[in-house]
Amino acid sequence: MSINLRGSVAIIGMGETEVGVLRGQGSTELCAEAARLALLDAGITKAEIDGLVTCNPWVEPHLYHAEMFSEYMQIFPSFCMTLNAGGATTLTAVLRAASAIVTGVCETVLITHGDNPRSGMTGAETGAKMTTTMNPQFELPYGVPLTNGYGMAARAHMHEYGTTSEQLAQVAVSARKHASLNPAAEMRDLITIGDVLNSPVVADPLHALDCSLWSDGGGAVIVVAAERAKDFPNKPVFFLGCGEGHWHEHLFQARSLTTTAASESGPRAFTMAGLGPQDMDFAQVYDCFTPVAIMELEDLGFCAKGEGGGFVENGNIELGGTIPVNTHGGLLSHSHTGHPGTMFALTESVTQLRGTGGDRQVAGAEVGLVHGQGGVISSHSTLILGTEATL
Amino acid sequence: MSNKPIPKTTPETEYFWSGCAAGELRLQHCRSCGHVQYPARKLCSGCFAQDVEWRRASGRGKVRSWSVVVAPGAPGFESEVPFVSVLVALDEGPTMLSVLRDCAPEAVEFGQAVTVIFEQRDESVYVPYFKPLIGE
Repeated sequence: MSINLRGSVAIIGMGETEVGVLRGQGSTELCAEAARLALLDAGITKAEIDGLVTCNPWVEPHLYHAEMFSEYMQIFPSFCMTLNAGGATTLTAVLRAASAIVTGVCETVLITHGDNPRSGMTGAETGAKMTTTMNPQFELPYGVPLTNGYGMAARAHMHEYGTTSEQLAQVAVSARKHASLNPAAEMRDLITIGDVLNSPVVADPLHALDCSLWSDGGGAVIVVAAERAKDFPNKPVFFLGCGEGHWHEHLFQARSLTTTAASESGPRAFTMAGLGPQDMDFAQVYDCFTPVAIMELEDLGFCAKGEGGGFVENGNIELGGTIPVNTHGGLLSHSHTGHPGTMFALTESVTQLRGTGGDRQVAGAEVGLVHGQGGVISSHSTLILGTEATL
Repeated sequence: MSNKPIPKTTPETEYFWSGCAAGELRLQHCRSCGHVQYPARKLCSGCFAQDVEWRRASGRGKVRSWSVVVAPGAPGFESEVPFVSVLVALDEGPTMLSVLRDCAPEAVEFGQAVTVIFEQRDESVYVPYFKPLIGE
């Protein structure tokens, strides 16, 4: 038996906390604040929530986080799940929510994430936490941080396809340009390719400005069946397709250093949606480091494999270009709140499809893609969303 | 000795680590399908046969990629920076993450031949590192 989830559910509420340095706010609190804002946006009360999906924050983790959080919120769901797929978590959560609603397990799912790794942890605590995802026998004993894993993948892409440091830098420059148009973004001052190349090398070939921010913040969405989508005050955004790909956890076990499982998650999502990359009005890709965005744009089919470096040049991924990428500023310039990071790519996609993006609105946006990645180019999840006109 | 992390061995990997202490790199070969695997498992990750045997590896491989570490990801390495993190494609097939010794960061090359060396981590634990293979 196969159920097509295309058009089956819609996002009818969203919430975003402030991002950046939020001293005095804990991760559970941020998770709850995002949820409160999403409930307000959807015009419903917490009593209507019967499905809950959270992710485990770093600062206030709990083995059974979603259960703990439902207790905190005093909600009593029939569907309750903590997901841990790093930056892929948010979109895998949307797929789980759609599946639960379509199969009648629940009706109204709250997906909420929050964390405050920027101000809730010391640098040493952050470093120690990051190593917990590394292989304790075959990676950790070398003292090699995750950032250098991305550095090795970037170097392999440069060697194999001729991608340049300037092209990597262009991803950061374009992200900052979009962030400059977004009042909610953490870093809004324009930068140049020279600024990126002159920033310190942190894990060669990656410069400091090739790396994402490290932030506090939280976000949430509320998902219901499509037939209920018009019962809420704001314009609904419909689920058109979703796909995942999981190839490895640790980089030394990767099938490829330069082609990611986005090459499977993307086609799975596009097939479900009955659409292709050429149909997208925008793409929010996972830009924890600049080369990752380039690899994903290739693997998702926005350009041919190996041509991502050239593709990101000449304003091609900016507003008005072939495919506006990370219209909110991405992890590079909006915020990177850890596991919740991709939530802001999702809420931005809802904003774009509602047409409320202000100065950064993609004119006439009807359909868009959002992509998340966890681990070190490990877990990939692709979601395609559209307006009612795309059903 | 140092406060560097000690590999946390499991029953499946003890023979790998005892090999390192004995100065040899050991890999598992599947008698059923010929697959060579790292890290060690009780079953073959290629065909799932429970028929893997340990063999001494050549200890040789080629540089698949690298990145220079300036900010170590664990305690105990502060005095060693900068050092070269490396992915080594072993001649037998699997890839290992390691660190390249005896090679200046600017001298590393793709496909460069390297050979294993072992560095003592505590009284009984030795960790496999690599150095350039010269003169062969």
